[in-house]
Amino acid sequence: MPDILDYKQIVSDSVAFTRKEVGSSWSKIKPYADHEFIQFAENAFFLARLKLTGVIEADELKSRLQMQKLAMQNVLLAIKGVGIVTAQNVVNGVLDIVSGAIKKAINIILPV
Amino acid sequence: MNMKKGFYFILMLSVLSVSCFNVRWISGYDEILDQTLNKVKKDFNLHFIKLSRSFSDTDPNNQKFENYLDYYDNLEADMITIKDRTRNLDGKAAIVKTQILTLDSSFKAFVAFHKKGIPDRPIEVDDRHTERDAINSSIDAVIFLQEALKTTGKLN
Repeated sequence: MPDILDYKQIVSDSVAFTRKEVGSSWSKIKPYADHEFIQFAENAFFLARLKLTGVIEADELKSRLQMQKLAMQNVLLAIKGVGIVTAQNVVNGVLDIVSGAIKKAINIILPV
Repeated sequence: MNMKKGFYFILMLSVLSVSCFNVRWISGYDEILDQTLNKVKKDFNLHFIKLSRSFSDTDPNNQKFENYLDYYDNLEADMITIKDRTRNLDGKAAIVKTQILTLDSSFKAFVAFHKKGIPDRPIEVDDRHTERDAINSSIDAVIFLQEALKTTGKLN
């Protein structure tokens, strides 16, 4: 009975699916992260220069940097969340591939 | 060889049977949250356009916090709606909940910044774009994750 299951095909399909899913996720995360990280660095530099040239005092620098910090915290949480969504989609996709192969081989529908 | 394959086959069936469902590690997409955040973003940017006009002129009074109470009252009402909506979500919404609390802190920091007083400065010296960017980034981060959550459980 086990011989009728094509393990090589399952592995091949699972790897291809994982590559596609992770690649798709990365193509969304990269431009987003690039933009946010560059903006954070530029804004921190801009505020530091305002302090250096005497336009703002230390307490204003502190309160304005705090807003930058909170924004970056939310950006990193978003990236972490997208990573979890990606991993979850990969696991569910591979479960579907395996259960599909089993159904095809021995006509048992697994409740996945 | 067949014995070994049979063992793995049974093991795989057992694992799949025990699983019995698609895994779910994070909460799903929330349309109401997404829509409210887009409204909050639009309202904030409209507010900032008006505010930036007032702190780049020579009148030191027109940017006073008291002149913008309507906006801040609406913002508070929107944030109450958003926080109430996410407060009772399960543990799988932990990241979204933390994002909403962080966004709330971002707005509180902006309110404190405005309350303290925003002095007039030439726009080419300090247009306060850093604060506009920070609030927009904080909102966008929640919207970005919501977009990703739309794919939850689906095969692309």
